Amino acid sequence: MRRGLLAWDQSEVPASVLDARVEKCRNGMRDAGFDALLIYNNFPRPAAVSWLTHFVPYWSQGVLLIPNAGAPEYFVSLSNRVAGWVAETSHMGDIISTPRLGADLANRLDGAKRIGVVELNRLPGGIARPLLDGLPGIELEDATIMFRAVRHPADGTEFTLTRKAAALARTSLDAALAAGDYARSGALIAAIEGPARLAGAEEVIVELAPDLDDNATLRRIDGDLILADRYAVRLSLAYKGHWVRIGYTHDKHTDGVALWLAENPMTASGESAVDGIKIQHTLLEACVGSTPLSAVSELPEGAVGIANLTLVIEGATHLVSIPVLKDAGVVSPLA
Amino acid sequence: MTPIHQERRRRLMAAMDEEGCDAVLVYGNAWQCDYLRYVTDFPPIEGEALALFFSDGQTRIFVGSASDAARAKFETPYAEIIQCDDLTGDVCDELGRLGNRTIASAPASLMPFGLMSAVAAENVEDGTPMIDRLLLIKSPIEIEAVRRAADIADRGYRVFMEACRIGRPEYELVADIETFFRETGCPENFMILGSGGVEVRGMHPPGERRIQAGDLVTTELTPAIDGYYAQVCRTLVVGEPSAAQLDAFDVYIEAVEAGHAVLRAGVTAGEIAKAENDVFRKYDLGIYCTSEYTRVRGHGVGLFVDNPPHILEDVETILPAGATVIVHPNTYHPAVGYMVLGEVAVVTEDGYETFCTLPRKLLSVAA
Repeated sequence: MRRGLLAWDQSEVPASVLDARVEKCRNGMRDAGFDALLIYNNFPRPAAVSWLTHFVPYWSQGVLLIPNAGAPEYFVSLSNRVAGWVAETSHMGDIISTPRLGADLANRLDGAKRIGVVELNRLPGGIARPLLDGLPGIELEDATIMFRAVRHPADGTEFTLTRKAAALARTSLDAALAAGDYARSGALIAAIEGPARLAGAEEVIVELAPDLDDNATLRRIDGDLILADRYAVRLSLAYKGHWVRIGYTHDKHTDGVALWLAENPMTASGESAVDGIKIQHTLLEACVGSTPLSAVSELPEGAVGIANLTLVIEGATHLVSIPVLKDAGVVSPLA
Repeated sequence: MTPIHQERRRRLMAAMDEEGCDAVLVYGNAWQCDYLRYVTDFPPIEGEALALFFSDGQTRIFVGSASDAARAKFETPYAEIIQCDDLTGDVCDELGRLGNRTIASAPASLMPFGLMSAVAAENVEDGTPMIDRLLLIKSPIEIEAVRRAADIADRGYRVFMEACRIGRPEYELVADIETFFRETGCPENFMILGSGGVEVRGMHPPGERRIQAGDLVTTELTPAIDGYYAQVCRTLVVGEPSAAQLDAFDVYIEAVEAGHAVLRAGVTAGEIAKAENDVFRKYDLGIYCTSEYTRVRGHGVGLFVDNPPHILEDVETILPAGATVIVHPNTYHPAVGYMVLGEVAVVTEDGYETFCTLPRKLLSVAA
């Protein structure tokens, strides 16, 4: 559950930036002929709504309604007592606190002819069913592609906050690894997560492959495991709705290799830039909808994202994750 | 496969046999994965997943996130893992291939539109009540997991008390707790808090407000062990509690004890809520038991932080032995602000058992 710092600092994300994003979205709606756009959110899927309003839920679920004129309206299952907190941490119009999201949205949309829904197929049935029941004769239309088209390129605010998230993640990870050797997973995870949260991270997920020579799967550790000589650690961190991942291999016998790789991961073509290093697998992720980071076959132009690389160096597996950006068709590390 | 999951599978297969069910289809995401975890033992961390569990124990997990899929392959070697670019589309295709089998799905409220509207899912029945019954009654091995989570929650609250110092912003308190939980190997926690005085009407995620002398600081800590959550709610004062704060908190102590006094197998959720609310009504504070001031007077806990039943006067769910619930009369008090009190308990035939070692009183830390 989300329990890091959730706050809106207008010097970081000015209201005018959010207004411009809503307007961009509204242009897409006009082109598609939608009277209204609906965007679902819960805390695993906060990204589309936070991009438009800065709001990130810690719990429960809601639907943002973008009418063809006027401020976005937020229908949320949180109780009315929390509406003040929602308003404090976001930039939106009316906040409608209701346990009947679908039915109340249907009432609000009475008279609308064409309603787009971002990621329609993923809309929970408990919302979709009463929404459809309350809008006889109306067919909901999938607006996923429309939203993807307006979501990128990233604006200056997104670049700035992604860089801040990356710096926070890098500092937390480097400081923890520099502080000494860790025999067990709990001590290492705590040494990374604590400082990251103290520095204002909204969310922190530390995954480990505790014995990289045995298995190279990164996973959240439930318990306290022994760390082998070679392990991989990946920190996924959110700051004010902006997600990054930084991952290294920690190898007691090749200090510095992973850090060096993080700075020099690939050429523009995705090939290894260094002799003797084989890129075994590349997973690119970007924010293209409601999920903060989704696997993509290629980054949208102008997007920030994450490159997750599985490298083989002298027969040994290394896992590296770094923030990247795509500019003029070239993917490179986010400086 | 862990012993706790072996036991869940045994109970699930027995329930499916009783209902004449060939397979169950369950959904889960990083927010709510209790149905999915019960059936597969797999919790998504970032994305969402659907799973088909067959009456012979065969399990297929359809995973949306690439990271989750890699992890699922490692953590659930007894299941077939299918990573999907189109989660609902791929599951619809699978349902189409399964043909004329009796399939029950859960939970209905979260099942994606792409599935509920698909022709292939037309004959899928709602299996939510069947799995809700399984989620409600914990086996001894599940209760042991709740007990361990309750122990971590207690210890976490003591860390919270140490963290609660004048001048610290709320989010630093949470950072200290999370550091402690990770050190102990606990990967997950639900936590909200409130700090301040009579102006505070509830709890929320941590913000930048700094702790001040005289503050009431409320929190509910809800760590999870092996997927099972246990919750503790306590209120502390920074400095010596005032007479008004102590007087106000006496109502909460009386209410939580009234709720626990009726807690036993066979009682309804509504009867517990009424016992709590009657105390508030006795002191002309009944209005603070309404939805304007409070959400619920307690709830179930287990593989989700907020399982049914909600402890509300109009909820007629009968609590069986083995249910794990928290009775908490958390609400606003007009004299001092928002206060909370409660801890997880296991319902027994003749009462309840709680694992909490924290005193039921208004706590305080040095100013």
